[in-house]
Amino acid sequence: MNVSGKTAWQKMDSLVRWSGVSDRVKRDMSNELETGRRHRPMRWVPLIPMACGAGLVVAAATTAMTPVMYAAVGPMVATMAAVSLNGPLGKPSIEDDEREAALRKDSFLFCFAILAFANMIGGPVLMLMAALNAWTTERIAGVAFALVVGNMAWLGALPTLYASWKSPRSSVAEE
Amino acid sequence: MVLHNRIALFRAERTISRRELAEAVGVNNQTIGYLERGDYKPSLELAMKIAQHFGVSVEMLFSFQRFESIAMPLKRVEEEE
Repeated sequence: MNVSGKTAWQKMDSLVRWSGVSDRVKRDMSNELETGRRHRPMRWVPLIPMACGAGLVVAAATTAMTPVMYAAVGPMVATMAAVSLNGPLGKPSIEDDEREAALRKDSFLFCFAILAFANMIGGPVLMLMAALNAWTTERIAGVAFALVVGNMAWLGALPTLYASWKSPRSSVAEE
Repeated sequence: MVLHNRIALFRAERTISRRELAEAVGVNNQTIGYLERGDYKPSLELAMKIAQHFGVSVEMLFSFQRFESIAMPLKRVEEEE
């Protein structure tokens, strides 16, 4: 117990309640229809983590990974997770009906196709760059890290972007 | 190919909400809205479930041709009388 009268655990509980995560879990686990679930189309926001992911890979390949770039990864992944959870594919897939299951399948298929193509082109290009510029092990490790994070950002945000453009705007969907 | 439907009309006639229909056929109530607006083409299973719920054939609910408006048969009846 400290001066504020709260233990460290109680402070952590307060932090979780403040973040809204506990309410979200309660809503998602509820069987009630009117629980205010918010899984709305996000037509532009997913572009932020995607642009950051692509920018990180380009920056790592052209310069080198700096501490600032490593620090930017945390907020970028958090944005990607928020986009993914609040977008049209954010609800648990076990609750999907046939339309939602088809939308989820199409969205991830589109995402995997784009990522496979980008990696097929980008992989050999990066290997060529590494060979021609005699990159150090540290530099290669930085690029590899950027590639993992970049792919993760796109995997989290691109299906949401696709599903959002395939869904009508919120106002139409809630008529 | 556009698949026209009369789900909204049948639903209005039977005075049932989207949610009631959704629960009866086992889908999300948003999906009923998508179907009514023609934003989603249902599977054969879902189409048959909806038709069964209304007690009509699938052809009465779904068609590749635009359905005649309700006013036209009424007008014809009036003319015949």
